Amino acid sequence: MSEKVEKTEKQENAKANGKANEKEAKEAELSEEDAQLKDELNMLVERLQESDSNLYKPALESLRNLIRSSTTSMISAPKPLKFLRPHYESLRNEVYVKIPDGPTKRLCADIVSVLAMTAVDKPEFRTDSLRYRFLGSGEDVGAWGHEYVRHLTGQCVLEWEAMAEAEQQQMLRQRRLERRQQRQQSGADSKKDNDDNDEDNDESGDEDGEEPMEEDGPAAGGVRITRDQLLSLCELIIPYHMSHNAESEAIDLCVETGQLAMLEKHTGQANYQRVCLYLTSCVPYLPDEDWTAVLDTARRIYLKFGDQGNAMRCALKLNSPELVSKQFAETPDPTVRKQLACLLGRQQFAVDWDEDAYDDAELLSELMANARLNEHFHALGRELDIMEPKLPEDIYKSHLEPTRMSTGTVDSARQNLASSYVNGLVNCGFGRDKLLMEDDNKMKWIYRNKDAGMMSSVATLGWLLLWDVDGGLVQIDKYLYLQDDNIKAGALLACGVVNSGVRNECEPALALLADYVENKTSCLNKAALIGLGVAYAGRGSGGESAIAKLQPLITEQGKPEQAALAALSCGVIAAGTLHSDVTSSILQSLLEAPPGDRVKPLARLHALGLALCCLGRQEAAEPVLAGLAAVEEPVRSLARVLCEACAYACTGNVLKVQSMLHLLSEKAQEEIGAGDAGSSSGGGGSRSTSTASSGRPLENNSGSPSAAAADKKSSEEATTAYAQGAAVLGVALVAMGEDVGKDMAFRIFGNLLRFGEANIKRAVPLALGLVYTSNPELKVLDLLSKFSHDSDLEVALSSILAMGLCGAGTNNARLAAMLRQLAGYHAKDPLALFAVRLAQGLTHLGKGTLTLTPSHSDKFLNNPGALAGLLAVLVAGLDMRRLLLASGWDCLLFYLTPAIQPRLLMTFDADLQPMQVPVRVGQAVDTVGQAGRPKTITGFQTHTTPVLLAYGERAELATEEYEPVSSLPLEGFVILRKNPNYQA
Amino acid sequence: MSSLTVHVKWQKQKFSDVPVDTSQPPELFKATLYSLSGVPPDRQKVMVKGAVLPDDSWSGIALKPGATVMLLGSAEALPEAPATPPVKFVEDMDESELAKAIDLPPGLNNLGNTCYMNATLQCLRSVPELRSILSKNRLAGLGGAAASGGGPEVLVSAMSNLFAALEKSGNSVSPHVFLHLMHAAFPQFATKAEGGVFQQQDANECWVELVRCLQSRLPTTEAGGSTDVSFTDRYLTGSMTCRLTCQECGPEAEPEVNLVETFSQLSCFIDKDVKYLHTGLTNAMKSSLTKRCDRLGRDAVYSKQSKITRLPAYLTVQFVRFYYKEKEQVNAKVLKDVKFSLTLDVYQLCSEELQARLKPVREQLRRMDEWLALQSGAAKRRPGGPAVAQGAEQAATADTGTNNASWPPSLPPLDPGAPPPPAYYFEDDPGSNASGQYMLQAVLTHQGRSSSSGHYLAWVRKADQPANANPEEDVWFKFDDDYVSPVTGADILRLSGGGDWHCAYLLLYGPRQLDRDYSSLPPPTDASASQGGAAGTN
Repeated sequence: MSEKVEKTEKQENAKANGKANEKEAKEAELSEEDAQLKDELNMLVERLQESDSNLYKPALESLRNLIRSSTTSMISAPKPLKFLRPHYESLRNEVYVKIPDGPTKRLCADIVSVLAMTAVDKPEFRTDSLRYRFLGSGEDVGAWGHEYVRHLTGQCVLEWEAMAEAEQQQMLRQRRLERRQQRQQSGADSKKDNDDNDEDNDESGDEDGEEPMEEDGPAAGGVRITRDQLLSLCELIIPYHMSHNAESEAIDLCVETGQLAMLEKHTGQANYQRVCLYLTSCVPYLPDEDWTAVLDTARRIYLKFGDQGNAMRCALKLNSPELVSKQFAETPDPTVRKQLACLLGRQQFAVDWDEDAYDDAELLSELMANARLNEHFHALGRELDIMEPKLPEDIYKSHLEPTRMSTGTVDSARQNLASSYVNGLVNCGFGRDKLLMEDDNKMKWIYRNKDAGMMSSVATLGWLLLWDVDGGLVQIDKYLYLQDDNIKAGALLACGVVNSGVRNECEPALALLADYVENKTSCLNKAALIGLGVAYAGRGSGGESAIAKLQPLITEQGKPEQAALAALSCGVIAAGTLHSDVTSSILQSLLEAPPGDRVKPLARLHALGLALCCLGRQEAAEPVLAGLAAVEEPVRSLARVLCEACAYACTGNVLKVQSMLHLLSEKAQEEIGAGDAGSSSGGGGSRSTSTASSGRPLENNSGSPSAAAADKKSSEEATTAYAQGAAVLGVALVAMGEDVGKDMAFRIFGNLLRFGEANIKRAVPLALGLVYTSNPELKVLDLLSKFSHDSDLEVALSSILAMGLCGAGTNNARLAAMLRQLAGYHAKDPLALFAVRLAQGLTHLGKGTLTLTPSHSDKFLNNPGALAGLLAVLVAGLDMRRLLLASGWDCLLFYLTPAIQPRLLMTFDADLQPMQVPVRVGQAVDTVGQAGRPKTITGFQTHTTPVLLAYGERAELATEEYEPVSSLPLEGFVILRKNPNYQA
Repeated sequence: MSSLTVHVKWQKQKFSDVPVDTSQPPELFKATLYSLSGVPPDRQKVMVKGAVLPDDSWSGIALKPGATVMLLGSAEALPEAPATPPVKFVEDMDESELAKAIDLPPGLNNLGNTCYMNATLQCLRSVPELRSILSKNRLAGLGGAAASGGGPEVLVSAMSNLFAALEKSGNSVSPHVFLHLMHAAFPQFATKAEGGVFQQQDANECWVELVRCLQSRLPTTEAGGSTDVSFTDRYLTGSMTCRLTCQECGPEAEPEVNLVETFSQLSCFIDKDVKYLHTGLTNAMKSSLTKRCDRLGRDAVYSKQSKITRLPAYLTVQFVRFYYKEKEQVNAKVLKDVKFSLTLDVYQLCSEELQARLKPVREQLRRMDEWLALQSGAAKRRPGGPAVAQGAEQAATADTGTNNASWPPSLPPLDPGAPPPPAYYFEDDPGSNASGQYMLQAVLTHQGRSSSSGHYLAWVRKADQPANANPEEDVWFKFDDDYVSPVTGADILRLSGGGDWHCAYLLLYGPRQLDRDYSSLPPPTDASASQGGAAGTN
């Protein structure tokens, strides 16, 4: 029933006295039929108002019949309700009261309860439907129609909240009492009796103060509702909703009242998928404490109906090794288990499982280790006929660039290095290229690079041979015997890169790199540290031995580079595990670092390493945040922001976004002298506001700024500036979990770009790159393209790189044209040109078959290793000129490797032999909360597997002959079986 | 428990049940692996659970029976550093090295609205003969001797000094001295606007004055030792005969008046039907003038028909873009688009005697074009190898009779002892053009709406590059005062006007040159026929 109609009616009524004529005119408009109905209803009400109690029952019964028999539509209220509305108060307060107890009174209560739907706009009648429902005859809840049930549902929630609030106040009062008691006990032991009296007095006093509010309910409704009553009503309402295509309302009620078990009970085979879809989609909008429960309910419902795949997804989202292991072990069907192993491999989740328990243990472990990723990727390459290697020039297409430099004869170390990267990115995973691995000129290209560039060039071999541990390491091994340290370092790094995302029981990455983590030669050392981080990224417990090698280096004094990289790599490996050794040693290193080191770009890497450990752990990360309190500024703010953002990564938590925005809105100047104020307490929001507010008075007091104050001011500015860049990334990180949050973040970033300080502006493009990784939406590209021409080189650099990230692996033609134009625009600036080249390489990543996005499984899960890798690059990108693009540091780009994944759909039969079936690929449609069997994709095309899936695309089988063994989204590797019901 | 078996994975292969005796030194195991895989022990890396097997002991390695061990290594030779000398990177070069490496010629600083002079100088500097003669004169001490004289002599010596400075420098040069002396020699250029800034001047005026200055003060010495022919006369000046016919009397009635005129520029007047340079030039050869006719005894309209009798090596063409607007008192500009090409053939404008003389060289140039077209076509058809090298190789093998690839026919290799290619000038007339064909080598452009405002630029073709059929591959330099940047021939063709972009004002055409003597070569079609025939006999 639309409340608007009600409201306008009410307004009319309010004016009615003054405008009787109008009303009469209106009545005249009533049709004959309506007038008759109205007269009849008025007559019945009059009868009820009379004193003849014998007539009550028949009158009420005919009222009931009239109300029930009326039909309703979406836009108008049922006629009887409309006409009875003016009589509601008299029915409620007079008629009901005077009727003696008995069935008639209950019947009257029913009528009042139904009529209360028309009076919800008055606060005192707000929950009348519910109250009189309990006084009524308690017949079938659905008898009065769907609208009535909806009202009951809404009022249940209201009542439940009121109860919770009351309880909370009760508790507060209790606590206040206890405090007072303690005080009095400590103050005066002598007057014990008086204490008790006081207590009583206090209590009664308090009650007096608040009682009226409490009393309000019962006085108005005449009933006090208990929780049990509410719950019993819920028990009736929920099945009604479930059987009437209103799952969403049932779920809302359950979530609000915390009765998820009830949901589990009443969900049936027919609608469990809809219910679970709704549940899982609610997750980003729920408060922290609820979402695990909701997700777990969804998981259990899935399990109840034998949907192992989706149950596993929920377990993975819950990030619970126990649940995952348990479910893996309890999956009955071996084929489904293989499919689950594929999912686990994609998520890189380390599971404890008993290898001896299964016949196909070797196959399962291969699937979980992604051992055949390379093989399958090559199959895709052959199918699409893109195995032929490409040269950087094929990507640049510099003959199409608007201005052309005829400097072809001179080698620029930076541009050659860019070409090395582009070559590696474009031919990534294909195992062939034309620069490094062609037989006749193997070393020629390497020697056309300079110093650290040589290292990176050799290391791109790792990208070329990505995931091919068996065949690839041999080709890299040769370079380990060479004398040149840079080449050797590159080979080491390549060894690490090849192993990224693939497990091998011999752990070759660790075997080869472990000896070099403490090497005196800077480049060898760097390569080993980064290599280990990349190889074991997100591996968690599987990377324990690598962590054991790296962790002691974090606290080692006097080697800042080594310590920073060790911290970062540890963080990448232990992403989301809250690894106690790693967190404690990074905290220790932050505490012990000499003050001079603070603002150095490397400190960011330390802080990020710590933050990565907290990835997605939400409140569980609190101890780490608490540990940061003792760290000195400016690193403290930075680390705090990063840790908070990581802890709530991809949750869409609005409160966290707000607290980050608080920090961003702070002007650096306002921070003056506030350094000590914000040292101790609480979450990010309270911290930033407290510093800002305590900063102002101090600023006013300091009339003549002394030199010391100026010093302090500059350092404080640095503090804010330092943390603000990270806060921008933090907004992106938190918001990237769901679509609404993404759109909001995009708008926020637009404003920040327009009005933000320089340091914020520099970070915004990177944040956009994070939110829209491998998802080149036009509005984002347009914005980035605009800022890639910015006069501030850092803004331009990060915009260019962000364009690459947005388009990573998409071959987006529009982006390619933009970048080509940029190459001309920045032709004179070697650093910007380097960034453009990188972006071009990223756009054509794997010739358009790979993606960098950490989310998978229909954007439901995020691969922690991938996210950690992306973050490592982006945080380093906050200081482009001193860190990410600085000569010798560009190898940080290899942290992108864990994020590189094929964006394919490949189908297999039960024996894991590739199979070709037709599939429809189209834009995914959001079907959450929709009744029936809505279309899940739109604008589809039919292809034969293997196919590429772009961001936001979904596939469905276009044949009835086969069906997937699980109801997981069709992504990555999918196992099919013959449809038993198929008739050719 | 010291003897057990393990599985060894090597590349994509797997050796099952390889026996290991951990009581023996690891070398023994490695030797076993050598026999299996062929990887020499010193290139073997044996990896067990995240550790590499040391050479001397099994310490730290926990082998379990049936475990999988990874062998890394190959028997392949190690890659070696290339023998080429280390690459010198742009980043390591200082500025002058950089300019040399990129081969960007230096620019001239703008000294306050002197872009007209800078552009003119850069264009003139593209004439190699002028450069060499100036440097010779400087070495010969002319500069010093003439310095005392003042006026044009000094200006010439200043020019030679300036060019020498440009030759040496990697950076831009400030032509202070030259500007000062030019102002002294030609006071009309020294006008100042309010505020004491020099005013913008017409670049063509500057050009004409400088060329005139060179004419009077720069003798050439190389031709037979005679010093009386000036540089300008020799290289920049042509002559034409003009036949005047009184239009009223008709050609028969009166003996024609033949005049000989010299010119240092051809003008292209722009009227509405001139869309191409050639039309403009042809139109300019026919004009009419009013003069007294003896026969009629009064003024009559004469038509004037000019024919070129001598072509200078370097032909200057002026687009007459500016006309004086009485009302506004400015030299307003015609923005009309007049297309020009990178080559120019003025054969049609020459007198019959000259045309006859031009023919032999033209024939050779035509043959060169045919060969070039063939080569570039072949290169397109067969990418991957430089066409010339390939061609030379083929020709060599064709001589020995073992070759059967006949198409494309290739130029016979150039005999090192062969005589140099024919010069572009007539042997009895150095500094002339013997073919009537020119290549564009410099363009002076103007951007703006009147000649005494706006901005002048010089666009000069990079020297010593072969003729390119594709203008995209032609390298040019854009001299925007001190800012020099490389552009392509296609950009030059865009200077034809028609908008507010830079539009060509003066074109400097240089002679087309032969790269070898084609007179002794058969035309390419014959060559292919003979080679094809040879192939057929094999």
